[in-house]
Amino acid sequence: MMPIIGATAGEEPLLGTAGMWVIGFYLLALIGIGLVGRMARQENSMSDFFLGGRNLGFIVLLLTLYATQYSGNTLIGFAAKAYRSGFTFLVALPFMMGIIGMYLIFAPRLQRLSRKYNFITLGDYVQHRFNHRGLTTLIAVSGIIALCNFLVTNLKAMGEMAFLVTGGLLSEGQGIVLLAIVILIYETLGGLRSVAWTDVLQGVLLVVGCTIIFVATLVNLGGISGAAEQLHEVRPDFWEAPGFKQCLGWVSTAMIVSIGLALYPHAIQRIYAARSPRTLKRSLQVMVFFPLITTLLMVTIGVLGNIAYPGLSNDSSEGITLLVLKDFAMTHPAAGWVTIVFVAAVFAAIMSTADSALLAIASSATQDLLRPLTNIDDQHRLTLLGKVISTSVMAIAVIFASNLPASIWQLIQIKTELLAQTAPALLCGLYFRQLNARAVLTGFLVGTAFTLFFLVGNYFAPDSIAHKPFGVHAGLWGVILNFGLIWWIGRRTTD
Amino acid sequence: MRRYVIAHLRLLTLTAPWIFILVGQDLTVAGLPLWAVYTIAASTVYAAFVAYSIAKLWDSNAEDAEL
Repeated sequence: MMPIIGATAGEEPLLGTAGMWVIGFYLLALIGIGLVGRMARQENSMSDFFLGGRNLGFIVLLLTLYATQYSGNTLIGFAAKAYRSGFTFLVALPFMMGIIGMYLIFAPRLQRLSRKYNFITLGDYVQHRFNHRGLTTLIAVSGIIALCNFLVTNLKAMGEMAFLVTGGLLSEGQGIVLLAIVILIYETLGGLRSVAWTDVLQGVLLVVGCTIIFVATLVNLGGISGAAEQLHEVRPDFWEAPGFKQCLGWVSTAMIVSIGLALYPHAIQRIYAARSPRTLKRSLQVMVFFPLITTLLMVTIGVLGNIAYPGLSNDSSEGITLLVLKDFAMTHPAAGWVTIVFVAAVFAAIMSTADSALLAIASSATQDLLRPLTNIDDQHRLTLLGKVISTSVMAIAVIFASNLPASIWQLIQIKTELLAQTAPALLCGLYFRQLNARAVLTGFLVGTAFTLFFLVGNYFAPDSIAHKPFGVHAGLWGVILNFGLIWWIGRRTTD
Repeated sequence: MRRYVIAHLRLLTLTAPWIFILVGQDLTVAGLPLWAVYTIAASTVYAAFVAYSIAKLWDSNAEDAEL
């Protein structure tokens, strides 16, 4: 089993007793918010449970979008990748901003349609637009697989954090189970309303945590110039500008990740859940700048980690954020609260993403897969079914989280490239009136098969099959092929 | 929307430090490599472009033709 954040047995706990109490109160507060969300319920329906009654205001929507998009991977995985790759991982800035750039292409139309036809999931739109149950099922299953991947990686990170924070008092497995139970309680109580409200607390913690660790690191290293000078001594290679192949890879990464992450099923649910188009519009206008106060700071921390901890292996570097934090805590014992806030921020980032993924899986499985099979129309029974699915999926994910085979970054790339194959169906469906289901289904199947061939092939035969044919992600080639087939078949056939 | 999509793709492409393949690589700003500062600045310009486009192109009161 590969460690994600470098947890090893027998280490000193990251937090003291007081810090652990604070984290304990924080978890209780999440359950309290879940209870308040339950009391605010308007009706016992799918729309109320999975979309918070379509009534999320500006601040709640902004912070829930933020806390959902920025997972534990941002705080742990991005810094680790930046530690290894240097400034070239600044590509994380355009790909996180590019998500919002993508939203502008489809969110205005999709949100209007969702309000008119009461969509709950992306599958509802696909079924409404193409009236093809097979296509809807495939897109729903693809989204569920990607989300399960996401849920498992975040649960895994939760377990490792619990182990580190308690110094082994809680094993990884116990940490996963404990935090999974907390998530299940507040989510089952109030659905998206509770999740979004907890995201407000988690989003604030995320901003504060990132800012604090960034400032602390720079202060420790003597400001930007001092830090740059010390870094140049240990990693002069970071100063070399990327060549043509790397720039091509940069653009490929920026495009595939922004397309894929924009199609997160749980992010699309938040588009549906906005109180009004104006609320969504304002939230996205602000959110496009958030990478500057989160992603940029974590990339910088990862890069600067090379000064104090040069030469870490791939596995060990996954814990660079926490190593930097420990370093600061040791040199500034009076500022122990910094560690507490940051640890809370990491838990917040991981839990807010895991709870949203779980809710999106439950809604898609209920609405897109089981509802057509069972013909249940009673909202109370459907909501109950969603809760049962949510609990079952969490139980299975907890088991899988104990046997995670790859690092966070490898997994997020696979998930993103698969999710991106839904983009042509969504975008072409919204903009081309004459489009038919056969063209979209063919494009989706061929694009997904092409992508999987290279991703899976590269996993088993890395020397023979490239993950990035001609320097471009297989998933991006898949999207281009997908669009091309939709255009070509669409021109020759009409329903 | 077509013009926005083209501009979005162009600006996203320009966040990569292509220009530094041709010009000198040793330039620094406050000790940091200039190409890294360029990518941060280009990303900020891209973000401003998206925020402006949202304001300009997204009509909150619009009704679409049925799709």
